[in-house]
Amino acid sequence: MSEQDHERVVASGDATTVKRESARRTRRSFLVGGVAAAAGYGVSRWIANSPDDLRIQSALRKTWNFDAAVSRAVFDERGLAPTYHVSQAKPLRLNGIVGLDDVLPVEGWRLQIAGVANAEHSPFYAPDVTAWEYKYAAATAPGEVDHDLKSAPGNGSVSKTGKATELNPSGAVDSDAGAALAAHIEALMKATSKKRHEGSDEAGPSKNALDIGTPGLLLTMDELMKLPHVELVTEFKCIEGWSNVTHWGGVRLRDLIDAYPPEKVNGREPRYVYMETPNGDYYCGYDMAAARHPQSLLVTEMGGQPLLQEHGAPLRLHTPIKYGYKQIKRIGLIAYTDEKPDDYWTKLGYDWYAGL
Amino acid sequence: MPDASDGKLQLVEKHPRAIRWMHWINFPILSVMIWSGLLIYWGDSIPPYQHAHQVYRIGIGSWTLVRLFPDWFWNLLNAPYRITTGLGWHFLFMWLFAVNGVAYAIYLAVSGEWRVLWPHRKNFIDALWVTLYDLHVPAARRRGMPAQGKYNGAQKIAYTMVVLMGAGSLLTGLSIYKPTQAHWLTTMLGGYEMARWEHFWLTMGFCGFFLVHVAQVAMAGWNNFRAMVSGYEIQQAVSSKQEAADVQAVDGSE
Repeated sequence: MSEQDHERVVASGDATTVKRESARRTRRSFLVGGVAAAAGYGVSRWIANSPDDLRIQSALRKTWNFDAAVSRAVFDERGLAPTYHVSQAKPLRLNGIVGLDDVLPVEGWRLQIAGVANAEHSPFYAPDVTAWEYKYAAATAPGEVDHDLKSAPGNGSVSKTGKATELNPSGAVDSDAGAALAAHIEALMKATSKKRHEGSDEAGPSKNALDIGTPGLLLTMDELMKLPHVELVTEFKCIEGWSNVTHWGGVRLRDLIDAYPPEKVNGREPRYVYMETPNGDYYCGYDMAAARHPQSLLVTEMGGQPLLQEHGAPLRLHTPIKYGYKQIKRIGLIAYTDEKPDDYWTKLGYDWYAGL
Repeated sequence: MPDASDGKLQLVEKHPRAIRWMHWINFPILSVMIWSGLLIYWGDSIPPYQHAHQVYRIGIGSWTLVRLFPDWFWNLLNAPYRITTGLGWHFLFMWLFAVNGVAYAIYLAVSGEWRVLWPHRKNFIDALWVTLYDLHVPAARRRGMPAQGKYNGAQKIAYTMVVLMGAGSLLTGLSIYKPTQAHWLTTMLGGYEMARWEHFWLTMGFCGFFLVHVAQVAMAGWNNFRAMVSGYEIQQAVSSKQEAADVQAVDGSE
């Protein structure tokens, strides 16, 4: 078959006639193309200039929400992450210590759970879970940690550089001015707040911080460890691009939810789970389906060893269906809620769903 | 431009409307995908603070010819700390890229246009000669350009490759985007970091294609370029007998 068959002749004759016909058609097509290009440019400007929605243009955040809806519809969080042999696990890279200001020994820690059904009948009931005072070891200046690439330095948070070891100083220390400012903000907030603490890091306070006087449960680590122990070796992934096969040990979040079920909302489970660090600086929200995923773990061990302070001791979250920025370190509170919870990195421009 | 001293010219349909629209739509879409992808890649590309993470580079062992990419490149793009901007545009335009690409593939199949694009064994040899001809190598110039239909051998290979590369970018992209939900795909591609590496080098392939393509288009002249906008090319009118002979020559060489 000849390609000549495709080539229909639309004009022929002397050069002037043909060139004039060509010019006519060329003009028309460039005009149409120009209009299309202008329209395309206009749309992209509209996207770029759409109003700010937590540090990203609303058109782009709506896209992420659409993508999340498609993902839920197509996958329904069914996927089980591939697992690896323990020998393939490596130490987990440290990236970000928001919420981990001081050493917190496990004796000084309790797991607050809010929104639990029949909380008042539980032996672990506390009329005000926020009243628990986390007993930090003697306050130390944070040591050197890698600067988190997800947000630019000098954005209000006290910046840290270098490598950390169990939050002991080994080099650069936070600037006095930065620390004084943070303390000043914290004092101001306490004076005017109905919350026992307010987030003082870059993303600010959480809308979901509990009011003083919120009842719930306070669990010790011993009590939490009565849930079935689980070991898992999965590939942790950071939004920055790097990944790390890691050996985790802990209990399934699903088992905690089943042992201390939420108060029902209109006869069904609440839609979300919310977690925050004891000092309220770092907080994350999850769909109940993600929290109930069989590989979502409350982690107490990494690499077969107890969790280090800089990795979120005494308890952190791992879930291989989410990027690392959803895997909160040093969980202080787990709350059930029916409204989409506040989220640290969401407020700094990242996607709330963060689904893998 | 055909020699007008003949007196007789023809205005001939060359590129269908569908191809022209999808071709030009792809240009800004792919540009946004590459730009936004670079903003995302910045997050992992700089070797920060003593971490020996694998940075994409051209080199052997501990010797690096060029690191992808040096600081001046990132500063030129205003890339630092704009990971969220990258993620936003990338996960919006991926839909446009996918729809346009799949539409093009379907069009090629349904219209039969794929036949002028699909390379034959002979085209690979042709492509070498065409390249040497373009580089003004005397032996190639003496030999002359190989007979061709709408596209020469090098074009057939290139224009077929970019469709396959586009599919590759979509698949590697999906495997990076949903490495747990689509873990079967990610595993098939060699794992997460391998999929990222493949995705990166496919992108570099597109950049390389773009440079060669634009240079070739420039060398082919206005009449050729115009045909990809208006759809029509000015050609010399030939007698019907000569046309039949030409058709035979082209058919025979397929």
